Amino acid sequence: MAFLNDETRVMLEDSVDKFLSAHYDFHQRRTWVEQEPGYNREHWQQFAELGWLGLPFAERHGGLGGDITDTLGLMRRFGGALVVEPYLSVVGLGGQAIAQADNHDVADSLLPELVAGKAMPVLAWEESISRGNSEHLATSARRIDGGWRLEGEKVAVIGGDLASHFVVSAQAFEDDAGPAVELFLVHADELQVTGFPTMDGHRGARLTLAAVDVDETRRLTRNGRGAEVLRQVLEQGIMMMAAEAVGGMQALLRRTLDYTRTRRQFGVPIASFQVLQHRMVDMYIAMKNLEHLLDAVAGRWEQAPSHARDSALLKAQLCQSGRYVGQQAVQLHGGIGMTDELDVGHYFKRLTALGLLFGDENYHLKRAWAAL
Amino acid sequence: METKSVDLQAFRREVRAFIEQEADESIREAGRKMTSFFPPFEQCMRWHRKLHARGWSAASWPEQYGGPGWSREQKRIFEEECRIAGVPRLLPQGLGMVGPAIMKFGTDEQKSRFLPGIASGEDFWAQGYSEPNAGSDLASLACRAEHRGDHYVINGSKTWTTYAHHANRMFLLVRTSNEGKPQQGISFFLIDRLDRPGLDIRPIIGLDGFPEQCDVFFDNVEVPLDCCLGEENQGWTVAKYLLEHERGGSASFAATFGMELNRIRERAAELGDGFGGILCDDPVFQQRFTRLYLEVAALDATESRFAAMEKGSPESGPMSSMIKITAMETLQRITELAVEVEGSPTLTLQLAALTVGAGAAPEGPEQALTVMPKYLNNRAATIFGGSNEIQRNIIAKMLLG
Repeated sequence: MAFLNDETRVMLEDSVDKFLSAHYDFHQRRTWVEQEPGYNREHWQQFAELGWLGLPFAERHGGLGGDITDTLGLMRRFGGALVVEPYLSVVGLGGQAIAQADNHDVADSLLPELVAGKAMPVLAWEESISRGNSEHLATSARRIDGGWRLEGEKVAVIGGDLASHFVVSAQAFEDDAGPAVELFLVHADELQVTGFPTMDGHRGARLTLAAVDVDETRRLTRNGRGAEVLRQVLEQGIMMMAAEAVGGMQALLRRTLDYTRTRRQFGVPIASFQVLQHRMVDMYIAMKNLEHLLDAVAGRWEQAPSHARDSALLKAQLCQSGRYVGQQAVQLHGGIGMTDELDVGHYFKRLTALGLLFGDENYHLKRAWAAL
Repeated sequence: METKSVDLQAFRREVRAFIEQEADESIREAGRKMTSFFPPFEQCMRWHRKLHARGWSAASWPEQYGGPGWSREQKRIFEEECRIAGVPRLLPQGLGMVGPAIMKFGTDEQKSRFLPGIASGEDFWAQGYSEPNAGSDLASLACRAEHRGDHYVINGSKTWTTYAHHANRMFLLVRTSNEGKPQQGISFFLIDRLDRPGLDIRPIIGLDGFPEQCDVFFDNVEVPLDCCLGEENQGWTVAKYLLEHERGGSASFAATFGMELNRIRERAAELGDGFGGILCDDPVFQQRFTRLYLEVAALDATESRFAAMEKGSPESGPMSSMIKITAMETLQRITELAVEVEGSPTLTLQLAALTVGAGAAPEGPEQALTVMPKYLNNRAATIFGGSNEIQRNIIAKMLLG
């Protein structure tokens, strides 16, 4: 695994800052969210031109040859600006699953398309029985002549209604051996996609796989390696989500500090009340806890990828910090924090969604316990 | 009352039969799709009018104003049956707030003019208290009314006015004097029509994507001089009386929360734990659930105590603050647990399926439909009606003097 050098990272993060301050206005975001396809396609092309879509992909695929930790600065900024383009879904999850799987033909053909902003592969792993556990699944893959027949249902597929391809996890039944988790590539037009907006301004889908047949070339993993690839990709995704959450929390804390300094009740700014000061200090501590833990986890990741305990703790911290900062930002803004008009509620909703996706606090504390 | 002996079993059957017969599907749908303290308006008011036709709309009102003359037991049974059937709770602004205030402070003319319409559900009253710069510090309100000839002229604005866009009447606090303490120059107005020139109502979209609150703007709005409830500049007394009604008491939060908890427990018995077992066997879930069950039991005990307490006594104000604090925070924790139990399907935005009468099927499990909007909307529970920070100040004042 290679990493971008510090100079490149700084340049990249500069370009993200410039782009977001020039193009990412909260009120315009509303129109992108409300209209099809739910994000700004021109932005996506610009992401491609600026090299962002290729950040964690190999140079032979048109990427910059970086690692997932190279996306964290970008994700933090995306969190600060409430970016709705499906970077996490496509680059972080779908693309990374393909990059880390065993099928080089698919990687060689699809990843350059992704990096160019043309293909949008999305990971479909979650099922109604999952509750965060990617290895607890009912979707099946059974041998047919020359390939596989997939059957099952995937839920809460984030970015699912704008995907060009899906990376689908399934219990593969091969010969007499017991089932093993494998990944398969399915085109969006080969299965039934029920798309919907989500409460955080993003998009999602439910997928119905009713006897979807794919040939052997679309099998992405072998020998049960699907489970391992999924684990690693979700661990990476959790780091990206944590970075986004830190950016969102920073924005919320800044807005809350500003608001309480200017909002006057009882003849004084409400920031002068000690009970609110302490509340904001606790918001700050919650935000810093996640930020510092993310930095530590990312640092260890650069040494050796994949730490089950680290990522479980990180997600549990995201749930705790995101909930506290989001809830208190609304509380301290009062009624205005409850409106669609102000961005505060939208940060709160995004933090709520990030807490729910990929397993809740209870699940990740259990995972961490098992990995102690 | 004491001498009248009522067969409570028979009464319960009568209530149950009435609900069974009169609460049609759309009224029940409105009950199921409640995502905040305020049920869908149209169906709720239709239910209100049906209850009125039976003489049951104003359950807690004295008989002389159209109350049914029920004993406390009968009221409890009636509320219980409504809860079990899942019909929408009637909106409190008229029946629970301005109605009792008019009974206590109104002239005979005001009583005969306004109370019948509140009881019948012909009128809906909006509550105009908060302003952009007067929330927790309500006494600093600036919306003002000036004497001009034979009427008042109102200028200013109100905000967080629930369902003002559905209302035909409004009670509001206005500043009629700048003399003395801020509380002393406030009057309590009864606005009989909201189609007066210069009055502008704009709905505010909430976190769940629906309008529930409104901004209300007054630009030289003329109202008659007899719109004042109580004396001019004595509105704070009325408001305080009414706030106590709002904060506590008459509604039983514990019973409603108990039903929410039952729903969560039922779902936990159906949903998996992610490892092949069921959620309700998960000890972490059991602890969290039972802790909330305990909170509701303690709340229930406090509510019973409060119900037996004489209103207006030195302890009743702080006690209503305590109920507001504990009830609203427990409610928020319940909605939070419900979100975790249903999990990621709650992320789906379902505006059509949540709209009563739209006929849109929910995406994902039906039980998950209202879970996220309830979580989002009830973040307001610790803000409205005097924020929980303000309620804690009230109790601190009682404790510390």
